[in-house]
Amino acid sequence: MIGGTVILILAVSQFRTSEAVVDQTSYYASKRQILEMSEMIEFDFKNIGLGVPAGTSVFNEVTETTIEFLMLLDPDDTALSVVRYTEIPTDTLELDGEEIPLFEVRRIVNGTISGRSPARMSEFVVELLNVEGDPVSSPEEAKMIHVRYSVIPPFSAEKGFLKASNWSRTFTPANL
Amino acid sequence: MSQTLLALVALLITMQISLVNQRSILNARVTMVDNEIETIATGAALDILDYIGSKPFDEATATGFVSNVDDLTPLPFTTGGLYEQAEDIDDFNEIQPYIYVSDYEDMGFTVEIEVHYVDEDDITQVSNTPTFSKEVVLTVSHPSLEQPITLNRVYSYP
Repeated sequence: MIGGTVILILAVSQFRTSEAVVDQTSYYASKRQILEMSEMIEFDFKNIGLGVPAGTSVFNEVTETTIEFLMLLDPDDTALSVVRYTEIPTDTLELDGEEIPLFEVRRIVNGTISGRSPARMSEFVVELLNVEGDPVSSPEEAKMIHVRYSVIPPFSAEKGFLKASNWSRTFTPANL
Repeated sequence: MSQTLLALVALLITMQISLVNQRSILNARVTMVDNEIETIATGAALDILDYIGSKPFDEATATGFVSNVDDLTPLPFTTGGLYEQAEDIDDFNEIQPYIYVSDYEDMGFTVEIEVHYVDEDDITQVSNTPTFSKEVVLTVSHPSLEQPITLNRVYSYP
C-alpha cells in the first residue's frame, strides 16, 4: 500500500517537473524570437522617414494588418526603400475556450521578403501617435509610433504558465 | 514493526523529493514572470530615453545655433519639474517621479531621472561646468522588480 503511494507520488512529481521544463523551454524560445524580431523593428521604426523629402508622405499604407512606409535603409543609399510590414495568417489556436487567429509578420523591402516573425504571433499592433502620445488617424499627424506584439510559446500553450510573451515600444522618430 | 518504519521513511523521503520539485517549478515560474516584467520595464526605459532625445539639447539650442558652452544652461539644473512640461533635456533633471503606464496589465513603473554634463573627451566623467554632452541617468522601478532598472544615455550637441 505504502509502496504504491510512494511510486504514485514520484510519478506525478516527475510528470509535473517534465511539464514545467517543457513550459520553461517553450517560453524562453518565444522570448528569444521576440527579441530577435525587436532588433528589426527598432531599426525600421526609429529611422522611419529617413531621407524622405519634405512634402512627401512617409506612409504609403496604414491598415490594421499592414503598414508601408518610405525610408533610406542606409544613409549612403541614393533611392528610398519601400518597407512593408504585413500579417499573414498561419493557424488558429483554441485557448481558454477562445479561438485565437495566429499569424506571422513579414517585412518586405522593395517587394522582397527580408524578414519574418515567428509564425505564432497573436497580436501585432502599430499605432500612430501625435506629439502628446494620443492616437491619430491621419498619418500626416504622426510624431510617435507605438508598436506592440505577442507571441504564443510554441509548446504547451494550453498548459503553459504564461500564455504569451509580450514586447512593446513607443518610438519618437526624428524624421516624422 | 521495522517494515512499517521503513515504509514511513520511504514516504517521508518521497514527499521531500516532491516538495523540492514543486519548489523548483515555482522558482522557474517566478523567474519567467520576472523576465517578462524586466522586458516591459526595459522597453519603458528605452521609450523614455528616445522621448528625451527628441527634445532640444538645451534651452539655448532650441532657438538657434550655439557655439559657446557659456551660453548653455548653467549648473545646478532646476529640479522638481513635470515630465510632460520638460522642453529640453536638462528640464528632466530630478523631475517629480513620473508614472509610465505600460499597455500590459496597465502596470505602472515609477521613473526617476538625473541629468549631468559630462566631459566630452571622457563621457564617463561628470563635468561640473557646461559642456556639449549631457548624460541622462534613468531609473525605472516597480514593486515586482527585484531591483530597479537603470539605463543611461549621453546626448551630444550639435
